[in-house]
Amino acid sequence: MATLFEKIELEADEVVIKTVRKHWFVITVEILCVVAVGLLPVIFVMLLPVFNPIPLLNDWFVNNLPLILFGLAAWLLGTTMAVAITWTNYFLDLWIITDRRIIVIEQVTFFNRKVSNFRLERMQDIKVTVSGIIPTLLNFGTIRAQTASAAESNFTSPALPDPRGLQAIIQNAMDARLTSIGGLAPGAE
Amino acid sequence: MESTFTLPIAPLVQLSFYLLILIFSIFTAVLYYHWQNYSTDGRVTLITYAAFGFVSIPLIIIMAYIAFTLF
Repeated sequence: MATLFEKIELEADEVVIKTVRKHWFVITVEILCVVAVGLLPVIFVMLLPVFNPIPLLNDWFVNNLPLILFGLAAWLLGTTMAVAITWTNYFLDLWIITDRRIIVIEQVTFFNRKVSNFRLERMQDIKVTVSGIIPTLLNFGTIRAQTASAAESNFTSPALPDPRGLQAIIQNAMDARLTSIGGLAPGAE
Repeated sequence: MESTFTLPIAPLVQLSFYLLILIFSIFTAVLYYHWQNYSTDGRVTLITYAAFGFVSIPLIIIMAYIAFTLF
């Protein structure tokens, strides 16, 4: 975590409460899909001599084996690059909850990065949605937060781990922030 | 009169190899830029570089071997 404070400018005395990335299930499924697509031609080439559906095709493969191996290596290199993109987009996405704000960093793709700040004192409502069998079993879901600013300042983050725990952490941080600046906690009379 | 046209396969494969190396180099530079500038965990950054090199460099060596010796 040493580099976190070098890369993200925090305010004086601002304390990081929690940093969160999307659930591991999301990146696992994405990488498995990319790898499966990447391995399809390799499996095809390996199975062709076994099943030999069209003898002429098999002969063509044997006669052009170096060219086919070159193509397979190039395809696997492309797959490696696709996995690197997927992993980069996952890992460089980050949620940072501090005692003053929530910083949402979204790495959409290369050269497309959004960094949003949401002040805790301006937060009004936090909704958690856990929808589906896998999200319920693995405990991940979507967090939607509404702020007192314009509608475009509201934010939605899908596939966050332990969304109810995060909701509680944000709620506590919001209450503490409002108390510290002399405001009234939402719902308090 | 029948004419035949044969593609010179070796130069084509070698040209493809150079093109792939160019694309790979640009991609690696972009990847390095993003991780150097935006990663918040130095250990994961190093593991990512190592894993990317560990998989991609052998593939490039295989492609180079095929392109320059087997044709």
